[in-house]
Amino acid sequence: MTRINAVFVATALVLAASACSSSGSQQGSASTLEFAIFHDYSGPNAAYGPEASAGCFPAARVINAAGGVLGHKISCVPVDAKGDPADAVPAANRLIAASPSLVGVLGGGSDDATAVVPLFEQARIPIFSTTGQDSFDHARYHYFWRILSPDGAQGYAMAAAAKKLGYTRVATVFGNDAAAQGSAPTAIAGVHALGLSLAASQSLAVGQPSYRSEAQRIGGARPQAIISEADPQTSATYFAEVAQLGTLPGLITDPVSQEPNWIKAMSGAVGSATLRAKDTAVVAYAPATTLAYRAYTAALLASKSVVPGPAQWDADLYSVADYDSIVIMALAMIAAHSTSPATYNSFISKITSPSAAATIVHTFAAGKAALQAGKRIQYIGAVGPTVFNQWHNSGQGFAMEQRTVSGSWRVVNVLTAAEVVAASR
Amino acid sequence: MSAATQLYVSTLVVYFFVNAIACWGLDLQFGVTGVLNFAFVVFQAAGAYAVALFSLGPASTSGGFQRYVGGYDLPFPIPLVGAMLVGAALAAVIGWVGLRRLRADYQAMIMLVVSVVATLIANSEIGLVNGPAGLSLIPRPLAGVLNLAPARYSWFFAGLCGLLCAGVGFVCWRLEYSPYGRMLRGVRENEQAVEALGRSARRARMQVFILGGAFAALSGALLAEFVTAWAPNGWEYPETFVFFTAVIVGGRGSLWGVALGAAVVAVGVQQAVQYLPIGSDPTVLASVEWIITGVVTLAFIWFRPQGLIPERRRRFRMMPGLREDPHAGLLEEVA
Amino acid sequence: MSTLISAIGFGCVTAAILAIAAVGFTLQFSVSNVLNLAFGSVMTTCGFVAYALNSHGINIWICVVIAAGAGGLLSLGLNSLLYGPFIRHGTNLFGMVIVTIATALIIDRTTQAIVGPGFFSYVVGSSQAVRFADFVLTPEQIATIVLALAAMGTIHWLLRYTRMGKSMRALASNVSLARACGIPTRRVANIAWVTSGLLGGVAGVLLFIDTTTFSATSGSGFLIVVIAAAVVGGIGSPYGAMAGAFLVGVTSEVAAAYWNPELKDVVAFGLLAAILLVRPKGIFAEIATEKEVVG
Repeated sequence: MTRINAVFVATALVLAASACSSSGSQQGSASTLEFAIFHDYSGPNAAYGPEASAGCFPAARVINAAGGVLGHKISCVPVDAKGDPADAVPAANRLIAASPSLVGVLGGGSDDATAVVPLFEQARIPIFSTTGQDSFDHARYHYFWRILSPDGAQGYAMAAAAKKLGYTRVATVFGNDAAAQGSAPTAIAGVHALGLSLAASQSLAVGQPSYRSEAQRIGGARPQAIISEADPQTSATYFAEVAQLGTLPGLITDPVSQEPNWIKAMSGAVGSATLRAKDTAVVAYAPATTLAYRAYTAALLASKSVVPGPAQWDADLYSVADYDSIVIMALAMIAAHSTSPATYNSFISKITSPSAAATIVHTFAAGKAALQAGKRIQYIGAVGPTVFNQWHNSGQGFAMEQRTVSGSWRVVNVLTAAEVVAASR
Repeated sequence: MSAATQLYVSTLVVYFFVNAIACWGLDLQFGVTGVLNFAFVVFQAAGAYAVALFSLGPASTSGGFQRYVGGYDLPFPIPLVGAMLVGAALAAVIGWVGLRRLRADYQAMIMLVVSVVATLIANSEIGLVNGPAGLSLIPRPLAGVLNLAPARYSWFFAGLCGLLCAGVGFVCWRLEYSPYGRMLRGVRENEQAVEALGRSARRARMQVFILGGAFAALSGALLAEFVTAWAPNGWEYPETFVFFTAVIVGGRGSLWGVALGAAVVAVGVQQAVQYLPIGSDPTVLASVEWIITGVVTLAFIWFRPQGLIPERRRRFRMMPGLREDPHAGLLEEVA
Repeated sequence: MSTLISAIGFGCVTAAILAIAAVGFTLQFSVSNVLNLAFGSVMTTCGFVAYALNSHGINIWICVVIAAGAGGLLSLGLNSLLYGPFIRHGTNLFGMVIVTIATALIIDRTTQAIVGPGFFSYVVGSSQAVRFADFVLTPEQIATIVLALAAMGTIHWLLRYTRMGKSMRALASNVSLARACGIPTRRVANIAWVTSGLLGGVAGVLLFIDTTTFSATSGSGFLIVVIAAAVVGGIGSPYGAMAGAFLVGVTSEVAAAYWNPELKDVVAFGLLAAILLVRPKGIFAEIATEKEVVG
């Protein structure tokens, strides 16, 4: 959105902030802890915000239901990051300045992470990011945490999945936006490394009225499968035209294809039966049967008043990851006996790392009980085990999932770490 | 004030100065001379990218994850000056093509297309300025030398912007209230009359196009240095209209008016949004913000087209001896 | 060779939609001199009108007709309730551009607030491509081209052989003279607005059928291509708009077939720049140099 607006938003908020600070400063033990959902609610990626909301609100629900954190209730505050760095920076500064009870942030999408992560770092507030950018693969931030695999690993995993599915001749098709471009180079490199033949490689200008010539070229290249990530509209237009001109080859996609907007657009374009038959999503290994996942789904469906149409998000990996992020931050506070961000931050990796002495827990309530009983815990959430490395990245295993008739997902295969590594050589 | 509040308030101050510089640049073109530059934000973007390329250093050294052409590690203030030169050069090229003898509204449409093409190129040619991901880790000027705490550095930067803003304001003031400025206003009001007096309206347009382009680039450069990142999403063509709205609401052709416009437009809008009983759904809020911006613009054009602080009418007869053509440009409105 | 021919065939589909929209945009502009940047919003609104009907089981081609009617009404409403009053209030050419932008903003964002940020699709039916010679087109695409040809034929007939069309051309070349000759300028302008809206409505639905998926901002995104086609043809000239649409549509598909598909628009717009360098007023320049707005 507009930078000018941002300024004035801001001015207005100085007044608001000064008014609030008088009331906000009286932080008694009963005050509510705020988690900001700092994602795009407007602009080209306006779906990111609601997606993160669908993770945060259910988490807040289970945490509050279990008695909250050290006597505090927690709440989720959606804040529009507006889709580009120049708008996100003042919004982030405003958030930091105007929210004395801010204890954690979900945010930093691919389009603004490099600009806003340093701000939260300075403010010493943990930020759980869903960006895939490789600039964070080895960045030394204390307060930056990433649960989902970076784009680079995602690209290799998609190539490995192509091999595992038995394809020998594949094509890559990626949108030319920031989010999609992250995994394109490694997907292509992985295809070469695994000795598959690369039939074609396309980069699509997003949001075009048609991709007929591109679709024609792909048809002519005769790939057995297409490795792809693009936004809903681009994917729908492109694959509808591929289908019109011949038959749709197999699709190998990433967590984007579990987003409701993508599913809705693609089902409308190629038909849900075709999509079900063709698409294999390569996502973090998080079987829907686990206790943690069931807890998430139950809390999500119960959060209808704050998350419109909750069921659409139940398989969205980003929502699931955001749910885990909030639970992890809350458990870290309990482990640290402190709600101070600078204090509990260093407990985040302690409550997620595996250890022989640790009790494995899958829900906030179980984790809280174990911590209060003086035990060490390892939280294994709805996205599966989260083991942070020294750069606060967590690379899980990958699973290959396909749609079922009921709209949920089933794991058809699992990629081992060795298989993904083989693609990166 | 706490450090966080200081950081926040200084951010606002920086944004105010940056927007004032940009709006004055646009006002020079649109308010004073009557050039409808709908590609204005492209020049701001050019400055932002230029300052990044002049200060990031070679691509291999700045994180290694972004691709761009060139890449120099030049000391302050060379990147800022370079950005202004790039903005001016780009304006010269685009102006040469787009400002041919055409009606102002044709020029406007061509500029709109230029704006879209520029975004397309920046997005598609990833090797140029790192495509849709944009450039990040842009160094902040003198940050290493001063070694200040974040909030204090932010104030330092606000001061720097204020200084440059004052400089731009001074230049605009000298230009606009001089015989040259009267000639520019003449181009806006009655081009034929200016031509009849032996001055080239086209050359005048080119001059303000280039100067405005340089100011836009300076604003973009400062913004990019402050934000430390710059991406195509931030300068799509609708952003230009925000500057136009600010100039119209403030009062086109009036320096104080434009500065006020840059500051006030959306304060009212934002206040209104805050007090509206529309809930806190950020998706709807963002829509409402734009709708109110649209309605405020319409209201101003209807009720107060001259803006909050109207342009002072100069007490000279326009081009004495020449018949005023009722169909020529803005005459009906300003007379 | 077959690649070239099929790319031209594909280009014709884009060109057909573009031509309908560009003619509507430019015809209204030539008559009223108002640069209506809310044209894309009219397209989107009609697309959603069609969606509302289509989702209740009404055949998409009937929806096209109804959406056209809605477009005509909306366009007439914009002119008589908003733009017209502003012009009579004394808002000049520059002012009107800003007014139409503000209007576009209001319409688009209202639509977005109502339908949300998601994506929508029509139920069109089967759409497997049919091949003849080297052309590969779906039935919908062929229907689109036929509709466009019909629309262009109608516009040609309207402009050349009817009294109303002659009045429009008179208004386009000289407003004062047309008024002096007793042409009811406001009525003629209103009819131009209705025609523009009709064409915008048809183009909107056809565009959304073609893209298969659309959102509240799809129409405004397409507007720039429409403007490019209108500008390259010679803004204000319906025949220029047709030529411009063909040029932009076909160039971008041929560029995508032979070169980097990411840059297909850049190639089309580059061609535009080249043409404007040679002919600053576009291919067919038949517009007046005068700037009076008619409301």
